[in-house]
Amino acid sequence: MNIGFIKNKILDNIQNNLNVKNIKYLLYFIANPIILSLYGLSFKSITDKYLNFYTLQYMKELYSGKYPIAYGSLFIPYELLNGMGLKPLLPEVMGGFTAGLGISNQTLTSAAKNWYQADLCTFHRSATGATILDLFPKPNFIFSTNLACDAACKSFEAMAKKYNLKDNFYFIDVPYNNDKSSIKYLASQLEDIFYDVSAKIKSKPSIEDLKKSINYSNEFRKQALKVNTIRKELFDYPIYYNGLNYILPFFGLCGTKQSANLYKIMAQEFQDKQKNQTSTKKMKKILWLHLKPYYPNEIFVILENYNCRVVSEEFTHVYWNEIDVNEPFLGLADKMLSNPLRGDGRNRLNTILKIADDYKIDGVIMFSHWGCRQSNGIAKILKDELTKKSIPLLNLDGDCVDKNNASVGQTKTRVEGFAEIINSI
Amino acid sequence: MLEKFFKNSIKLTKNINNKSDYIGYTCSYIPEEILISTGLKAIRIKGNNESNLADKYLPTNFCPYVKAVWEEIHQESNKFKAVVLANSCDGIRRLRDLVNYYENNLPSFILDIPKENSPKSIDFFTNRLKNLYGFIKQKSNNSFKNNSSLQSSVKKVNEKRKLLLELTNFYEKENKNLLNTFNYFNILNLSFSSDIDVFNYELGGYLDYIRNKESVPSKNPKPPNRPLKIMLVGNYINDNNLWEIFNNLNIKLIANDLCISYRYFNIKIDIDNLLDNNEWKNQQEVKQDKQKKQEDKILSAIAKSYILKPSCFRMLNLNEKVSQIKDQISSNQIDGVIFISLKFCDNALYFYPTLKLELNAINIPCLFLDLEYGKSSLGQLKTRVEAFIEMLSFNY
Repeated sequence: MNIGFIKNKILDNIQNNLNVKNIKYLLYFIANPIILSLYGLSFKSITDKYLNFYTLQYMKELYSGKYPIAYGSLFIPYELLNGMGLKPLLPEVMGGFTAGLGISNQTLTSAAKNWYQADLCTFHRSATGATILDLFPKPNFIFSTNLACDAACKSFEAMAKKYNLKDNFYFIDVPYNNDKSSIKYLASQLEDIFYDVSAKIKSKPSIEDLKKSINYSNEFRKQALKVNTIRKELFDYPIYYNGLNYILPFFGLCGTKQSANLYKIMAQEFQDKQKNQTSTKKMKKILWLHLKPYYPNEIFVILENYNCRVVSEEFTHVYWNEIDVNEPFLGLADKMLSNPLRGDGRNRLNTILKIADDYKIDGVIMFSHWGCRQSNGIAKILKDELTKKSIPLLNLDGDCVDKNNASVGQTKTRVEGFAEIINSI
Repeated sequence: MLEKFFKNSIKLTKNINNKSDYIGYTCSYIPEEILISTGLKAIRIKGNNESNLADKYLPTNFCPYVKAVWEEIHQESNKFKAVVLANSCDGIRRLRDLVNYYENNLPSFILDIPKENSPKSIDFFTNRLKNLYGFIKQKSNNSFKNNSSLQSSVKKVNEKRKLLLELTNFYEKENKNLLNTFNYFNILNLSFSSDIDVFNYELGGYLDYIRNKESVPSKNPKPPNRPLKIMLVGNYINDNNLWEIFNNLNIKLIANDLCISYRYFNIKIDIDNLLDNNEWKNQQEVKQDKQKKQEDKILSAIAKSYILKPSCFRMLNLNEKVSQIKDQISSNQIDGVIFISLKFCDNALYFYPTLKLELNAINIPCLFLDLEYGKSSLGQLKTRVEAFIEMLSFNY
């Protein structure tokens, strides 16, 4: 009996018995130390192993009922939540998981039956469908922000209504511009949240715990920068590595020992890989924009077959400065305001141009996820600007969550065509 | 009929070509009183919905209103001295990017609008309004008129809103068909597409006319059938084809929660009590300081009024919004709700499921329509609306 067979059995079980009790039971079974250590033997990459370990442990804790649960949208400062002892659940990431687990048909159908229109982003729609089916542990708090899209604000607000969390729903309003009044406005919101939530969970607000979380975040940042520097010249990646599989540790676990540790392991493994990489090995360097499909797909295999390697992703770019541990709220506000997806599209454009320059990118793939209007609306400008730098951009329409909304054949043809162009330059 | 009473307003909407005078804007959260405070004219950009050139710049599944506005700005950028956009949604943020990138000779300003109505948000919004005021003053260097001021522009816009509320009250109550749905919405459209002085004057005259006409006893005293009362809930719905459909049905559109209806004109900025002259007894204080302090107070009052006005779906007050709609339904004895959203409006589309659930709970039928801006399949739309009205008539 091999590991693949067991994985498929587990997937079948989830798909056919989709309820919170079964998820809890499976996690209890899979994420116990003995099973995890046996499972660990099957990994060929230590980074991959720890990603899976930490994810499973995190999921088990989420469903354990022992921690206050906080739903949060992707770009909120998780250092704050982790520093307050909350267990964050990222519905958007869970939306991605529903695709990977093959249950998005069920969650999306649930959303559709409750009048969520097919024009909406499937990350949010699938997550909403999952909450309607009560697949996630019940939240004690919900945090959302207007960074980077409308869908996050509104879908999280609807979740707060479902769980009757009016007073425990916190919205972080990130201004369009980054100026003195913006940072003050944002920092004061974060500070209010910290004291208000601390009072509600009946714990004494501990700035020391918050500082500890920020220290972990800074350590994670340092390691992530190291990883990204190595990636500028790395082509021999550990098997199954894809930067976009690390969204949970990069965002939700930010401010925890796990994310700092995972990126330290990653940096070490990448360094070893780089040392052993043959000096003649050269591949075409791709920058990936937005997210990727989280259901099984061939895109990255096709790229590799055409001697192309994704060496950087917009979502794993370290865009923020080290956070001043003595000014945690101002530091976290600064981090949020530094996000390239905030406000003016030139923030994103300039970041992309800088990455393209730093990594000597040969081509850019922008995955235009269905319904992600904040991202897709700038595709034309990105294309025009990158063309000026002679860097081709493939605007690849698709859906990160709903495989029924993606044309496999068309995607394959477009990616192959793009890879051929890159190779001919 | 409208041409007779609104001759000059209509003429002005067709002749916006004097670049030095016009500021284009897009959202009911942008205070018109600031835009016109230095003597410039403010025109809400309706957009060019006839062409498909915007598809070259924006994805297929993108807000059709944003596309139409981009089309108009891109094709006729000379029309405006500047454009003021609101950070109201993802679509408008991307519109600003297009303006910055492809029309970089056209000055633009984006107004940050908080999503909450807390005191902190209002302070922040006041600060942003000061920036907007600065931008407008800067853009009107040459055309600044001495008799213009923030104070007088607030009064002017308050007057317009008062007249529009009176018009709406008349439309909703009258039963002699003196003001039909098509004309009512066309007057609303004129209210933000023309010169405010001209419009206020003409609307005042029109109101006098229809009130007089109403007071004349009817030759046929038989009371007409009570029309069905329908409430429209939606975003920027400003489509003559749609009004035409409603015009031909025996219904009244009541308490409509649209960007061009109550959300636009149900605002009152009370500045009379703000301007306390006693504060300025000290003759040493220079006139400019006095003026600056007064302006700050007015801007703060504007900020508060706009943040607390009937809210757009973008704001974070789902429960409050739903209960306001339910209150309107109850107090106006609404028979059914038509939720109309321009396609791909995330804010509206996320609001709908909650509203639908709540309306189901109080047995109010609700029809969902999503529209392409000016390009919807009219026949299909007509059939769906008629079927809904027919269904309501059976229950009535």
